[in-house]
Amino acid sequence: MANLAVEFCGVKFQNPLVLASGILGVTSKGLLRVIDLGAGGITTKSLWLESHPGHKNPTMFGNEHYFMNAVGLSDAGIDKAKEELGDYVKNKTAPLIANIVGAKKKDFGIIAESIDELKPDLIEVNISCPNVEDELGKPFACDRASAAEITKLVKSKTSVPVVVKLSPNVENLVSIAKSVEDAGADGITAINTVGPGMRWNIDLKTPLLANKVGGVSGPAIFPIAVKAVYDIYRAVKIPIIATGGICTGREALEIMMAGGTLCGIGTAVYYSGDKTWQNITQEMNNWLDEQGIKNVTEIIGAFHNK
Amino acid sequence: MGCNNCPGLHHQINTEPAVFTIADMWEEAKDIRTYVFKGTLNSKPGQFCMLWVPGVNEKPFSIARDYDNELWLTICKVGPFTEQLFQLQKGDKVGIRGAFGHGFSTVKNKKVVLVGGGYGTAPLHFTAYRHMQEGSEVTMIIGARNKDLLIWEKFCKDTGIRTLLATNDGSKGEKGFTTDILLRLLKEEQIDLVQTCGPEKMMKAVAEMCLENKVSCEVSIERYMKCGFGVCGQCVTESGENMCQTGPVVTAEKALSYPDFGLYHRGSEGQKISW
Repeated sequence: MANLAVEFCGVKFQNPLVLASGILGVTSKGLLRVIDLGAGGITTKSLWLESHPGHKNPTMFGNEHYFMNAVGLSDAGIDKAKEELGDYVKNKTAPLIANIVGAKKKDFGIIAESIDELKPDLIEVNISCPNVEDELGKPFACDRASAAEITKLVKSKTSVPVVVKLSPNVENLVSIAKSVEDAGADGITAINTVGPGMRWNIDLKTPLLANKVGGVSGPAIFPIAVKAVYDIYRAVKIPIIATGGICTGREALEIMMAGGTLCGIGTAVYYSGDKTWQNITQEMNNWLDEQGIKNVTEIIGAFHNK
Repeated sequence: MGCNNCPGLHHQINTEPAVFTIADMWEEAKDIRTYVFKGTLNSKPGQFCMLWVPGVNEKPFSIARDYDNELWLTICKVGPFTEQLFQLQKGDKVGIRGAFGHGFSTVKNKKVVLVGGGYGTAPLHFTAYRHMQEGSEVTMIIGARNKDLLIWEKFCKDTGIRTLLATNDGSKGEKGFTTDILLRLLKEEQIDLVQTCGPEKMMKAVAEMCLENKVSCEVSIERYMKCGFGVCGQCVTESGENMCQTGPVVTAEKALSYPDFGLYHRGSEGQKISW
């Protein structure tokens, strides 16, 4: 059995799979169960300063090719979240990544300062959600200056390593990645969902999501994620949480070879349920063993040595 | 159906809603209405579906009947969504996703007692029907605050199911609670299985009573089901399990192991709300 442990910004993970933000992350017990099922770490859903109801249903659906969601980042606010996550921190057996989001730039600083008290292992800054545009306007991740400004602000409020989650829905992803690195980010998460996209029911002549549009994830976006990670890896020195449609062990290995150190796993849970974590790590192990590779860390960025 | 990339697919892969037309509807009791659709979700009793009223919202409902190409949803008007739903007429179209989750066990040639409280009694119609198909003998205990809120009394009479009623105010059946009747049956009769759906405090009492009397019991746990397929995590109990998949029907032992069972559930933002 190969060693799947990786280190990310000085934080040790038993395996590279981390639960992506927005999936299953409502309570401490729910998150602890994901670790029991085999995840190497977990990311909370996006935490807001105040309570945030999210969008009405339907908020998500899937088919064999892709999944769409417009949950709209529902959350009970930072104080309730700290209370809820305290139980995870007390009992944790794997790292906690606290994902934060703000309506205004200054909110990111206030939330970062507040969540710092909980001492999560990493803070992931969500500046790239594509399905709250009606409410918040274009994501901050679409603009170099805004992305850098928020990164600097969060960094100034916490000693916890800061990872910035970027959007694929931009023309200049690499230059935005560089700008957050220059602003002091310790890592990058790539990518958030693609789009937003839109689907309708032709009999009802109604959009399938109450929000009309939603982020696209799942198998269809994996090639976009691989390219984003590949391009970012070439441009920056900080490590990457690679996420976007990873469903199998071979895909996890592929995106790590493109440059990911950790793999964010989200929509795969829709397809494989509780078995997701073990299926993926088992397949990674099998391949690494076949190749005689002892540590998964050896393959990170392997495509770039070609 | 299936996804080559994703081994061990654990539920139907396409969760886009199917369109159903309201074929018929009637009042079961005050503010409780049955909607009839032609078609099937191939569901088992106790499973649930997501009912979408386009432009309004989408909410989870238990399935009151799903056989002979008729799908029934029996729904109580409790809030803004159901108020809008009650405006719909015969011929109007809705979207339905599902069926989702684990339902009630069906047993052959046994003595089964079903305990329903208020509109929570809705899925027990279908449950009773399946048991009877398997040759089991069904007793239905139906409770409500008063006689105007009782459902399935006529169905039970028509199908010859032994029916015992309880109302809080004594306006029909026994004055008191379903649990008073259940306790008596547990003491006096040989019962193989008890299944219950209704207010969680009632179900907790039913579960405890059955365990004390060493009778198998299943309860249907309602939580805030938003996606229905184990992704959003809204319906999590304090065990960390999603009730949309592990449940809604679980054994009494499992339900009683959940610290939140009978005490609280969680709302749309994950906040705790007492029952």
